[in-house]
Amino acid sequence: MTGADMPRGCDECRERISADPGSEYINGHLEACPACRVYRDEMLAFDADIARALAVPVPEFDAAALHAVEFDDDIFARRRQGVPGSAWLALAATVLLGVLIGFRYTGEELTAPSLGEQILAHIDHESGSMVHSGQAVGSERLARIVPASIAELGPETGLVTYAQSCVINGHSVPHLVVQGEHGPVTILLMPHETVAEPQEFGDGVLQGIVLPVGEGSIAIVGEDPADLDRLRETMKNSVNWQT
Amino acid sequence: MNSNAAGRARRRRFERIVGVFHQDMHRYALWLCRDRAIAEDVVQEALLRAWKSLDALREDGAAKSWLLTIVRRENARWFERKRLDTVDVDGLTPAQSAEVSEKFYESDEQLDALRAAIFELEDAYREPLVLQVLLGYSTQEIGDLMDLNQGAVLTRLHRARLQLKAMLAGPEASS
Repeated sequence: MTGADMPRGCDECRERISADPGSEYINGHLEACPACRVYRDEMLAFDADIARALAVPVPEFDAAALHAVEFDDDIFARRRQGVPGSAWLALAATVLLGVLIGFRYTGEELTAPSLGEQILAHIDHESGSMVHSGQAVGSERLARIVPASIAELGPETGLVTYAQSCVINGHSVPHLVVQGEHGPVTILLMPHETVAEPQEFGDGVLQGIVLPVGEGSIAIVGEDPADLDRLRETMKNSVNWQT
Repeated sequence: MNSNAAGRARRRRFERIVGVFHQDMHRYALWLCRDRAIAEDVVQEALLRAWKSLDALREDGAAKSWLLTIVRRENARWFERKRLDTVDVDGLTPAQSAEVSEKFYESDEQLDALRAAIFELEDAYREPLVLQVLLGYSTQEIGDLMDLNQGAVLTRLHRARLQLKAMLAGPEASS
C-alpha cells in the first residue's frame, strides 16, 4: 500500500504514531487497519532502540561528597569562580571534618557516646549508604565483608545494596544495607559488642535496636518498624559466631 | 525533633529523592548539552541548587519533574555564562563528533549510528524525544516543561523520529 492509496485516516494515524507510538488516541483506527498496526509496531521497536541508545552509563551518585558543601555556602560561590572539582571536594571534606570535630569537643562536658549514638553517627558519616537502590552488592564482595564465620546471609535477608567493613567502638564490623519494604535498613554485625539486653535508640527519624546474640550483638536501623521486625529474626538466625 | 535530627531527616529525604533520579538527571543533562564534562558540571550545580531549595518541594511525588526542571535551567545558565564569558562561541560548541566516537558502552554499530544520529538532531527535536523515550514523559508533561502546547510537542516528536529514520537510511535513500 502506498501513501496515495492509503485509506482515509492513515496519514493522520501515522503522524500520531511517529509522534507518540504508545498513544491510545489511535487505537480505534489501529483495530481496523493492519497496515497501521505494522507501522506502529515498527515505531515501537525503533523507540526501544532509541531508548537503548539514550541510556548511556553515568557516574554514581556520591551523596557524601555532595553533602560536604552544606557546611560552607561560600564553596558554592568559589566553585563558580573555577575552583577545580578535586580542590573543592578536599576543601569541603576539611570543613566537614572541622565541623564534626567542633561538634564533638565543644560540648560542656565530654561523655562517652552510647552504642546507639555511635551507630547513628556512623550512619550519618556514611549517609550515602542509606539510599533506595536496586543494585545488589556482588557476591564476592559480600563474602569478603561478611565471612562465613560471622554470618551466612540467605535470600530471606533481602537485597543487600551496601557492604563495607567499618569501625564501631574500636572494632571492625560488617556494615550492610538491605532494601526493606519501606526503605533502606542498616545492619551492623558486631561479634565483639556484648549487650545484656535489647537496646532501642533513635533520633526521631531513624529507629534502631541492638540485639544481643551470643557474646556479640546485631544492630538494625531503619525508618519503619515493620522492616526492623522482619529482619530481627532473620539476622539472628543468620549469624554464626554464637555456634 | 531537635535540629540535628531535622538536619538528618532533610539529608535522608534528599538522598532518597536524588538516589532514585540521579541517573535521569545525568542522562538528561548529557543529551541536552552533548558533552560529558559539561553534563557533570550541570548536574553538580543542579544538585546544589536542589539541596538548597529542597524545602520548596512539597510532594516527593513531584521530585522527578522538579529535578529535571532544575537541570534544564542549569544547562541554560551554563551556556549563558559561557556566552557572556567568551567571544569564542565556536570553541564552546559541544564536541559532538568526539563524544560519539568515544563509544559510550556497547560495541554495536547500529546503536552507535543511532546515537550519532540523535546527537545530530536539532536541540528542539532531541530534547522532547529524550524526555519521552528515555524519561517517560507524556506529551502534556513535555509541553509543561518546555513551555510548548501539545500540538507543537507532537510535531517536534514526529519530525524527530522521521529525521532519525532518514539519517539512518543514508543519503542514497532520500535521493
